[in-house]
Amino acid sequence: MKKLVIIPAYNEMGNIVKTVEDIIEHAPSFDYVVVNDCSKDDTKKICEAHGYNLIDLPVNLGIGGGVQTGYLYAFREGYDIAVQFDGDGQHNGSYLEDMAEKMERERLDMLIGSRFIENKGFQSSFLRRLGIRYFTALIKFVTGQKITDPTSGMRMVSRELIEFFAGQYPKDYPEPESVVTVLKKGNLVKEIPVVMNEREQGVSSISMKNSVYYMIKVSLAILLAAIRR
Amino acid sequence: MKINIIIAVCLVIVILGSVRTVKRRDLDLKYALTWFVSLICMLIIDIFPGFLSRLSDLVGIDLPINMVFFVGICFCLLLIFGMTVTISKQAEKEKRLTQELALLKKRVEQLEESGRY
Repeated sequence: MKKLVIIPAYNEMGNIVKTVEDIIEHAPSFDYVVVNDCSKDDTKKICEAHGYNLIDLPVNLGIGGGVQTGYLYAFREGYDIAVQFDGDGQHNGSYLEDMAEKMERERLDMLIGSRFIENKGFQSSFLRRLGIRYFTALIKFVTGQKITDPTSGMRMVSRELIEFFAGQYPKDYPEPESVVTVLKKGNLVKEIPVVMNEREQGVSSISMKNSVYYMIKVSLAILLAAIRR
Repeated sequence: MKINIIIAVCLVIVILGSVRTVKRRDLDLKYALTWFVSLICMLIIDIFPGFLSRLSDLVGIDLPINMVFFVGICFCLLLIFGMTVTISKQAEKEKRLTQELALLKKRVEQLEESGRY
């Protein structure tokens, strides 16, 4: 079983070392790759100085294109399992081994780390939780399955979905949309309770200013993914 | 009648200019065709104004100039739509190229390192 952690990083010089060391320490059976999405800060320099396994995008692609590069790498290098893991220190590497074990045992295609099963750890702001609840309801409506944390960036996928995502993956705000696509494809998706941390440095990609755009865009993307075959 | 001649001269200059752009390969012939056709239509309307009034009579538009505006705006919208489609396609290609380039860069660095030591 070859397992890969994909760490998309954009301007994460303050978090990237901690993130990678966390994985090396707590998920020893995993390889990892940092996808530097043309960061404007010293993310690249820091990764090179530490000798981290790095893919350096020459131009900024956004989160979707960055993560997809990781899937493309995972596919070409013959990985059986790949997991997305945010480079901002929000995710905990200690869950990865358990997740991989559950993936194998239950023959899952996708396993999402959810904050909202046990409701422990950082729970995000009230408004964000409200938005996430709405997406949960919308996804339940179009697919019939309850995904408690559809915006979670911590998701593990099988070889089949590695190949699928390498071929097509949404450009921006990819998480809820890709869950719907995968469910509609008929793949087996489950969630596992995890605890996430509040980001320590850097800024979230979704600000108050563009949250309305985010809600509309992702709603539309979910509906389109539901009717697209 | 004077204005018709001035516009005709302008249009001919623009047509010649666009032909030159295609000849210098600054503009792809694929896209130039749209411009040629629309410029020639404008020239026809300019030289034979009766054509436009008969056409607008036919579809029931009182003022021929309204027909010009209507058709012109529709044409512009179509053109812009076509451009957003083209941009989307190009963004997809650009994304793929960027990803391939990044993976190649990584591969080359790996090979260089393994060759050196």
